[in-house]
Amino acid sequence: MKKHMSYPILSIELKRGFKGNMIWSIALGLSLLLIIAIYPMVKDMMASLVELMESMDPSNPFLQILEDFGGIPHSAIEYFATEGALMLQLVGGIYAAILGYSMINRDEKEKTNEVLYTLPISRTQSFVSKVVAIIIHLFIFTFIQFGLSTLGFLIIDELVLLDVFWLFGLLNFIMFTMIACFGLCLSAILKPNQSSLLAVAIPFPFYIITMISQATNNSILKALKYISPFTFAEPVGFLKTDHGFEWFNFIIFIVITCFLVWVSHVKYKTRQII
Amino acid sequence: MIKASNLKKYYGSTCGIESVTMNVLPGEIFGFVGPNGSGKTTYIRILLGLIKKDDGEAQVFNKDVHIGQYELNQDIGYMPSESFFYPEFKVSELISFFQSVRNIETVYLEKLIDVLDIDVSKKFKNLSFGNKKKIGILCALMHQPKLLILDEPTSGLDPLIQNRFLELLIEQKQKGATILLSSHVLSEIEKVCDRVALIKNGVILFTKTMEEIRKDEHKKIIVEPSRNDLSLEGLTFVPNSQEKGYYTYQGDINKLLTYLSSFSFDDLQIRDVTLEEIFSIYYEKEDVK
Repeated sequence: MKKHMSYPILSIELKRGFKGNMIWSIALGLSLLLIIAIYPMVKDMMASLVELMESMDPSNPFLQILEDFGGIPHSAIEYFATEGALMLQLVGGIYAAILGYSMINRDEKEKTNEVLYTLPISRTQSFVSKVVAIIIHLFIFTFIQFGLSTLGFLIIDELVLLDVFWLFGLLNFIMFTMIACFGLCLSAILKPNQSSLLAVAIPFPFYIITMISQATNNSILKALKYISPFTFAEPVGFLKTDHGFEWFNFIIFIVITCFLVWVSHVKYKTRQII
Repeated sequence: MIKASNLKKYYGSTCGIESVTMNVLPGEIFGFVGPNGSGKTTYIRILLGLIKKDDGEAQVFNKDVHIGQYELNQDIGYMPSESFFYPEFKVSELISFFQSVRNIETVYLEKLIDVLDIDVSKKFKNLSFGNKKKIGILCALMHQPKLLILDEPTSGLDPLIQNRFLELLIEQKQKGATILLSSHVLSEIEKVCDRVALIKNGVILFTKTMEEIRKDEHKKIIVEPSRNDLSLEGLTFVPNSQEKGYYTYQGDINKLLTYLSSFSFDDLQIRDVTLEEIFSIYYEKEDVK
């Protein structure tokens, strides 16, 4: 690993991204903490909703739609799965995409690539260091999200299976890394000086695909779930309804991610300055 | 040290360089002069493996240049025309970064910081243009490379630092370094360079030693009132819109004086043409052979 990585580049990328990481991490982490903290206050409302649903005609399509999107939560962890995790995955996905995209794009935008490329550091070393920096940033980001969420559960004194919860955290970390690799590849393919706002668009189609595949009984639309990394880390299925782990989707995205990293590396190695 | 033959680069349909053949010899300071957009930076970027050439050959240290040539960069110090470093970092942090990447003698580094009068406590983004250039010089020189490639290094520097910088270059040359100096400032080219090449529209017009250029120097003659009918071998009228008549002369000064004495003028000036004027003539000419 040592000869494939440059520690000075890794160090500088970690320092460059630290402030942004902390802003995203703390802003989202505190929001999750707040969502969990208000659970005792919305608990009664949830119970009333359950009563209301029980009084409704079971053939009412509204009930089916509600169930498809996770139904009414019966515990704090289920509440987190239907409310907090939605925000976590969407905002986290945006952060991951921007992080991955800016890892190459930022040097070009700030024109620091001219100096970087004239150092006695190979493009491969530089690229590997940047990928490792992405992984470390996302690990810290995910750790803060699940750390603050765990703190939230402790504050409201709700029983949560922490091993399951942190395993869900691990899946989210992997998913964020995959999305970041999409951003990385996008910046490696596009010409320099493209706006980093482009990266924001990466997680939305994936998220919408997952939503559609969840809400439909159409087998073709249902199969769309395999082309979204949100599927294997889908919070309701993992934390609430205990659906089986989507191995097929997971393996597909491991393969896609490896391919994206390979393409990014090839493109980065031959990248010219403008 | 640097060899380039028939180097060509186009950006789409725009010419970067059309045909550059130029060798820089070990241990010399080679001046690279040309107007804006003539192809100086393109040539330098090809040498550094920052952009691909379309055609021709280019070698540094007898090795073909290519994109991602990190193995050659160990012995190259490069200063771009505009210095862009990680803006949010302090100068001291940038220096630490370069120290961790390159083999740097602390004594020489401290000397450079002192000579260039660099404030290491400031963030790079808060530095003025001239101070940013100083960081560029520092990073190019700090590892005392075998080859220095400097693209417009002194623009924006105050005269004191310019002189100190030129002294540093001479010192590096004495230690055996080879220097490719791209510059608009002809006085500094004249001061430090052994040879100079002029590039225009992507084509090298000439490569000469400073001695050869000085031999080329000629006289400038200004006559009042203006007249364009003076005719002598070596005497050339320079068209202009002023009331004075401008000529250049290359040849025996006594012949010129004898010839001019047969005319009557209100005023007559004869003076040496400066290096800047010599290059200006080349800059302005449409076709130069």
